[in-house]
Amino acid sequence: MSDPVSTPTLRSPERWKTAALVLTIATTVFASILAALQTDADIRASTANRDSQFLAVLGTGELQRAGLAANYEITVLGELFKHSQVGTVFELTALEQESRGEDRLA
Amino acid sequence: MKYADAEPAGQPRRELATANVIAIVSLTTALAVWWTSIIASSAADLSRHGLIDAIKVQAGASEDWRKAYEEAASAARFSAYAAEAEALVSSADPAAQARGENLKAYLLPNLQLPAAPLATDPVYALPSGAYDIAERIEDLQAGSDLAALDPEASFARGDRMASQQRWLVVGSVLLAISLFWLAVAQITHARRRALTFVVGLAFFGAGVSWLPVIGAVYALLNGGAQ
Repeated sequence: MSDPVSTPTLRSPERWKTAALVLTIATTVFASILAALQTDADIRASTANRDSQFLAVLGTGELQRAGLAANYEITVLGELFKHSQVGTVFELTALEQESRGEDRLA
Repeated sequence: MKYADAEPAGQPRRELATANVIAIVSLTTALAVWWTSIIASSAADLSRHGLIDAIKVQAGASEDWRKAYEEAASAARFSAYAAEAEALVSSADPAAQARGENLKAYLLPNLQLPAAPLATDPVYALPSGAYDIAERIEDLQAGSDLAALDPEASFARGDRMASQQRWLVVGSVLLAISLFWLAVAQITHARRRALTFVVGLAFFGAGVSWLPVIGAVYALLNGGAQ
């Protein structure tokens, strides 16, 4: 009568031990894979960070270049307007002088 | 009874052997992690070097652009005064002619100095009468030491090292799993010990073979030994 009762109590700790072992193995494997994935994520984050800095440098340079070009274009346009106006004023003055009979001055 | 007779004779020897293998695997894991850290550090160094180079290149390019547009503004002013001087010289009025000659003799050379070589070198003259500023910028960049730096080459090399780091971590994971199985072998008995010991050794063999293969492959990709 005592044998059937005592058998499960002896096997039970062994089953728990095996279950704990399997869980520990699974945890170790998952932890290792997680560590590898973490490394991969860190590398990707570093690469993205570096690329963003690189693009920021390029963008800053492009802004400066665009500013220099715009400044030059506007300055040249301003000079063009100024010379056009001066030329027009001279032509009008010459026409006025001609109409007054001052051909030599015109 | 059978185990009780067999274990006392062989167990200390097996425990010692397992402990020795655990020590070897631990040392190998430490060396693999060290190597991985060196590679990670080199990858970070190359990325930083590339960024520093990118800033240098950009600073050089900005200076070239500034110089070219400064020359262009002076050249525009010079060309306007040169046209004025030509118009005065070709005038019928002797006073205007004299003024034009004086402008040519005294003013234009001074205006030409800050405009050179854009306003003086015929290479930069366009048929429309304007100046080829893009050509001037290209020439300035071609003569610059900073423009010769190649940040993207550093980035590519850094990326290869980061990739190597990824695969080396896989090797370290294999070694860690091996270490786990060997630790299990140390606390188990008889057949289970033999089985776990063999599994641990298999993972160790895989990890130890993996690391030099990765080293060799990336040494080839990087064009030489690291």
